[in-house]
This record gives sequence, C-alpha cells and structure tokens, in this order.
Amino acid sequence: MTTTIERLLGQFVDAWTTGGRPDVRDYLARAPEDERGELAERISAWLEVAPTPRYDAAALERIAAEPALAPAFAELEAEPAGLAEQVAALRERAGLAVSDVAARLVALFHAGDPARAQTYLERLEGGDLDESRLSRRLLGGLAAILGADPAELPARPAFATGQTFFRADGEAGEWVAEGLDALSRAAMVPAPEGEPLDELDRLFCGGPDA
Amino acid sequence: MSATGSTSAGAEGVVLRRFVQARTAGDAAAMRDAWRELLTIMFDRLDGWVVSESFGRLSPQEQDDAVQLTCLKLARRGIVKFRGTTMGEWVTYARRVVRGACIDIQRREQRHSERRAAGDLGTSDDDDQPPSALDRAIAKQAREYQQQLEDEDEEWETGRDFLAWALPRLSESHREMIECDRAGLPIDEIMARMGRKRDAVYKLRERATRALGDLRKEYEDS
Repeated sequence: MTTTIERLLGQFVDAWTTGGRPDVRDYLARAPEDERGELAERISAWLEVAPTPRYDAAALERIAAEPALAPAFAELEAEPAGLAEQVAALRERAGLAVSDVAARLVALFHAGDPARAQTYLERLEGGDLDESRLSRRLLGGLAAILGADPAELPARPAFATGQTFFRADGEAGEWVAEGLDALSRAAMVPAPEGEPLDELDRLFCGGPDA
Repeated sequence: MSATGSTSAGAEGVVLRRFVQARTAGDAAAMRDAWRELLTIMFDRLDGWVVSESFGRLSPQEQDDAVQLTCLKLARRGIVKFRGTTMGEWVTYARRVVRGACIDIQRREQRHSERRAAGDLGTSDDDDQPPSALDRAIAKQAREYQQQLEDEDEEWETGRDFLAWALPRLSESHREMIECDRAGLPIDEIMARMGRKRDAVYKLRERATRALGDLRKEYEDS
C-alpha cells in the first residue's frame, strides 16, 4: 500500500518520462493540504535528476509558444541595450529630470555636491563612463530612485567576459564586437588621478564593490 | 534538435555539448540557437522547480512571474555567465537561478507595497525638508537592491555539480532507483529490472528522492 505522496510522485514521474508534461500545480492540488509541502519537496528533488522527457514535435511547438518564454527568446535575439540608454529610458519613464535624480542621489548617499552628481549622471547617460567601474551601491540607488527593478539596470554582460574570443561576422559579430570594445575601453581607461576619490567618485568610478 | 523535431532521453546533454562547442569556437549565433533549444527543453523542469520551490510562499500569479523571470535571467545573463560543460553543472546552476528568481519576485512584491505606502516619487523641491517616508523607502530599497545585485553576482558563478557529489553518498538501492530515473526508463522496465512491483518502486523512489533532498540541504550548508 503506497502513501499519497509515494503514489502522486510515482504518477508524476511516469507522466514526465513519457512526455506527458505533468503540471506540478495539478499534482500538488491532488494531495491533502497538509501533505502538499512534502510532495513539493519530493518533486523538486526529483526534478534535479529528471531526464529530458520524450517530447514529440507538437509538444516542442507548444513549449516554444509558452508565454513565459517569449521575453526570454526576444532577449536572446535583441541587441543588448547599453546601461546609458537604459538609465535615460528609466529616468524618462519616472518623469524625472537629471537634476532631480542627482539631488536624490546626493541625499541618499550624503555625497555633497548635486552639480557634480548631475555631471556624472549626464556622463553616464552619454555613454561617457566606464560601466564596469560603477558601484553596486550606485546601481541599487539609481534603481530605487527610478522606481525600477535592479534587474532592469545592469546591461546584459558583454558576450565575451574573458572566457573566450569571438569571430566577428554579421549581426552576431557586431554584438560581440560591441562587447569586446567595451572590455577594451575598460582596460584602457585609467583610474581617476589627482585628488583623492570622494564619495561621488567612488560611486561612479570605484568599481562594483566601492 | 529544433522546435519541429523531437527529443529523446539525454537530449539536454546533446544540446549543451553543442552550446559548449559553439562557445569554444566563438560562434555567437550558434550559442544563441543552442541556448534557445536548451531553454525550450528545460522549460517544464524550470516551471516545476518554481512551483515546488515557492510552494506556500508565492501566489499563482507570482509563480508565473517567477517562471518568466527565470527564463529571462537565463537568456539575459546565463548565456554568457554559465561556464560549465556538464549537465550536472547546468542543472545545479539553473536551480540556483530559479531560487534567485523566486526570491526576487518575493522582494519585488514587498518593495511595491512599501513604495505605494510611501507615495509617488516627486521632484526635489522639498530637499531641505527632513527625510520623508519616501526618502526612507528609497534608502531601504537601495540597500536591498545592492544586496540583490551582490546575490546575483554570486548566483552566476557556476557551482559544483551537485549530483556528482550526491550520488556516491546514496545507498545502493537509492542510487539504482535514481539512475533508472535519470536514464528515463519507463515504469515497466524499472519494475522488471529491479524485480519489484509498481508500488514498491513508488515507495523506493519516494525514499530515494527524500534522501536526495536531505543531501541537497547538506550540500548547501557545506
């Protein structure tokens, strides 16, 4: 005699293996309420070892048409937007002037000089700052001020982050070349010299951990 | 494999190998094609993980959002951040992304509530005034966002292959059960191979997955 969890897990696995696309939600709903958490744990653990189901062509078409996948596929096809244009777009969406954002930043980080913050922001939106030197504190602060999710701010990373090098041909080549160009700029731009870094400098030029 | 083809057991490994080859050759277009296929054939697993991992914590709508965010994260950053070469590494990595997405959605809902409670963002006309509720909400969000960005950076580091670590730690019968499932054997074949009835296989599978879940907790704490 099997328990409910043993039986539902077994039926889930049988359906999965034959390409039946069992929905976890349905199986949890079939369990008594006080056993659903445990069944969820078992299914989660089993999915770690689950084989690729035997999907037929029709099933693959249906999966590819899943609404949740559409933004991901669009992202894969799109040219990556630079942080500069993302910040500008989010600022416009929030209905704020650069000076408004600068004032909020200065207040948030007790960073002193709104005029310099505004200059930094204008350089950021103009693509004149090395994105790899921006601090996470700054990105987090900007996201909070602009009412954005932080996931909207960091640009898709350059397509070559030291792991390999890419051939440049056609559209993909331009995408890759853009990334390599950014990396080259990052390597070539010297750290600010002269005056010691103040809080604003650290936010905009001090690197991710500053 | 393409969206008009079909899959067999081990298809993920085939597509992953193609992705790794494309990455090694520097063929960005082929990388994108393979990653798209990988997302397609992994979708049900990702969806199942989100639902089971977030059970009792996210609403059905939030779960749907978390599935979408998981796919988006994998498309946006995973394609360049994933450094692994094996399915075990991919699965370990994908599961971490699922967890991160579930946490992000939970935080997002909380942030929206706080933001609504604090009011809309105005201009800087009142900068000389003491910090408002909105200022405090922004400061709190900024700290949380910073933590989220740090978590994400960690998330993208390819972890160890959990299964390579866990399988040798299972008992022989549990490992045999898991290996049968990994091979995609139908229930009749498992019953014949193990000399057990269906109910006995179901019982053994439940115990094996429980043991695997316990090892997962041990692995994450180590």
